[in-house]
Amino acid sequence: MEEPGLRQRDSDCAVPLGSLDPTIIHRARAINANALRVIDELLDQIAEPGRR
Amino acid sequence: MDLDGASLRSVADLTLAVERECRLIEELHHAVLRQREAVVHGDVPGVESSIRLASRALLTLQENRRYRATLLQRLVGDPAQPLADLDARFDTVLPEAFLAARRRMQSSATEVAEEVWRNQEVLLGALREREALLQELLSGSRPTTPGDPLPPARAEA
Repeated sequence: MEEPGLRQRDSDCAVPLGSLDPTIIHRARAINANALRVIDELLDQIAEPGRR
Repeated sequence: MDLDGASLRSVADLTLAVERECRLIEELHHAVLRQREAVVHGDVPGVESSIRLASRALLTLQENRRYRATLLQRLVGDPAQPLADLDARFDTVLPEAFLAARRRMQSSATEVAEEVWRNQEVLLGALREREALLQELLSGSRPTTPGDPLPPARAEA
């Protein structure tokens, strides 16, 4: 009896499954969160009053 | 407060500091775009490299911010003086070079923040896709998500 194969990924899928492990994804998200904090503080310094 | 010779020199130094921050924001922007491309292509070394680039840009931005605070202390006696309100401290208009650098920093910072938010969504999508794949491998069927079409039997019901 033929065993069922794994479902193939669609060729136009934006994010390939399984190629990035969660650790690196979480690291990237952490550095991005830090970037957002730094940029937000910077914008608080330079935005015109009443514009933010 | 008058913009005397000493103040003008401080404003010139401040302008250079703001221009340096603009370049660092551009470096961060580059790292963020590189990160997204690497995630989309499943390129692990590319993601690692983008994390290093972003970390370096952020560290230098924070150093530069401390330097900007010392310049503001020298100029107006307040290291926390917001750049947005600096004009109100002087009787005359600040030099155009400073005003232009400040505008550029604001637009660059706004743009990069939008790109970082987009990356956060892409990364979250990558995590969810991975979870869905694991579910599929363990249970033999993929869990239904809001975007998935209904299976034929349920769609006809």
